[in-house]
Amino acid sequence: MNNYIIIDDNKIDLLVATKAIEMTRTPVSDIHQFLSANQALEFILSYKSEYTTIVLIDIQMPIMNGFQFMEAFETLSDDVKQNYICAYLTSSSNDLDRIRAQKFPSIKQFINKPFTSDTLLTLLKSISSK
Amino acid sequence: MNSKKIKILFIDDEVNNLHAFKAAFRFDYEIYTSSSAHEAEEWLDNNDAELILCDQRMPVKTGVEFFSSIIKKHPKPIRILVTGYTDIESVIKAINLGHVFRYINKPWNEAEIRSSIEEAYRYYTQSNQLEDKINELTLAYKELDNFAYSVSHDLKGPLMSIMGAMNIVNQTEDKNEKHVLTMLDLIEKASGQLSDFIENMHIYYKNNRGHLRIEKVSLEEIREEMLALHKLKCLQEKIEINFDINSNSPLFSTDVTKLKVVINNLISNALKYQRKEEIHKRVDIKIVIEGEYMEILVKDNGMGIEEQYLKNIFNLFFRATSEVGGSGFGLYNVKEIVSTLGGTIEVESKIKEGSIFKVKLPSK
Repeated sequence: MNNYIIIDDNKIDLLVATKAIEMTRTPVSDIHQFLSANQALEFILSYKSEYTTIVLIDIQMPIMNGFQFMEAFETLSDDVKQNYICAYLTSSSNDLDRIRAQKFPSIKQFINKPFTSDTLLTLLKSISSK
Repeated sequence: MNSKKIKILFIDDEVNNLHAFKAAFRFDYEIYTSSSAHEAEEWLDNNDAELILCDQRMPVKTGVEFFSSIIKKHPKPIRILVTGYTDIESVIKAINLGHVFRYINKPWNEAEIRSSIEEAYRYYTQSNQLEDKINELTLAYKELDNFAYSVSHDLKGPLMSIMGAMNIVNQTEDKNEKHVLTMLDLIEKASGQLSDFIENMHIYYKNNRGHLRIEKVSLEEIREEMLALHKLKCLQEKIEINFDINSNSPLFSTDVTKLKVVINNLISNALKYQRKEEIHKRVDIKIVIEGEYMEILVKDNGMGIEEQYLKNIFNLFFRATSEVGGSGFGLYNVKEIVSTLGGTIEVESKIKEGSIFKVKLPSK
């Protein structure tokens, strides 16, 4: 069983990602959608769940972008961080973004949009094999 | 002859030479003189010269020493050395250490100095033009880099949304399922975003390239057009829209197409950044032409802009909120057009109370 947090300033992509998660037919507890990264960060600070939460983060967003979000996330305690698996979900094809993403130990994957249930299944497989 | 005189600094420890030089050339050039290297250095700290002519044999510092000492601080002026005796060593030194452009023998004759000055000045303007061009290009290249990065993201974004939604539709066996309709709706919205973005990019491009087309302004026509354009959105979202016009100058002229882009953008923003919880959503537009000036006021009681973001809202690709989608093009285009039209734009805003955009334009 997994929870999901999706952070994307585009409502359409939030819906597409949610639908893609449902279509994997894997066990899902909660799906939380956020239009802005700072709201998601606040949520994580008080979020408690017995399941691992997969965080899908867009990179280019106003106010707090995906990189700033991860910088803040990495400062959280290991007790908190171990409950999360983070992945960038972006339409960026910029190599620099990919390189910058590697700086964050909590980022397990760099996923290019469009997000499909197949990409999510691949991610879930790579997590469970570790 | 140029309308602007060439600015020349002449340095010689013999005051008679300074007088003679000034007497010979002051009608054609702007001449400044100095009797020592030290005095010349001080002068250069507060003034600019295009050419510097300096005597080689001076007490304390020679001409070559002087040139090599100022080269770091004042690299732009072209240096000419004037000397009474020529030994090959001082010529080599002059070229290597002082980066001297020309070498003039004493006693000098007017014609030789004149041709040296003209040639040095040509070199000066060419190398400065080149430097300006290089700086301009470096800046443009950097901007292009940022631009390409943001544009590729903003163009690709909606397309990826469409592909994601299509993928879900394709995987759904029963196409009559409810979420298929939702996905189709999303595809339509994303296509709309893409089309808006391309339209904005076109405006951006046109404003940078295009020439102004000045026509007389009809406020009635503008009001009618704008109200028709936004009628549907106002009805759908229950926003009251008021559009007041007042003109005492039927001859007021400007580029009407550009003016409409500005007004349309401000109205679109006022309608777009509304607060859901507000019951009496309203947008007030007022355009007044008084003599040589037009003032446009667009006021809403919507979300408002946080104070810390106010200074950035006119920047390209800046977005102050993720509550409502935007490309970061709109207000940038508005500001660029307003300045092309010779006007100014101001904004007042309070979070959760609304914003007022005020544009002032002169008649063209």
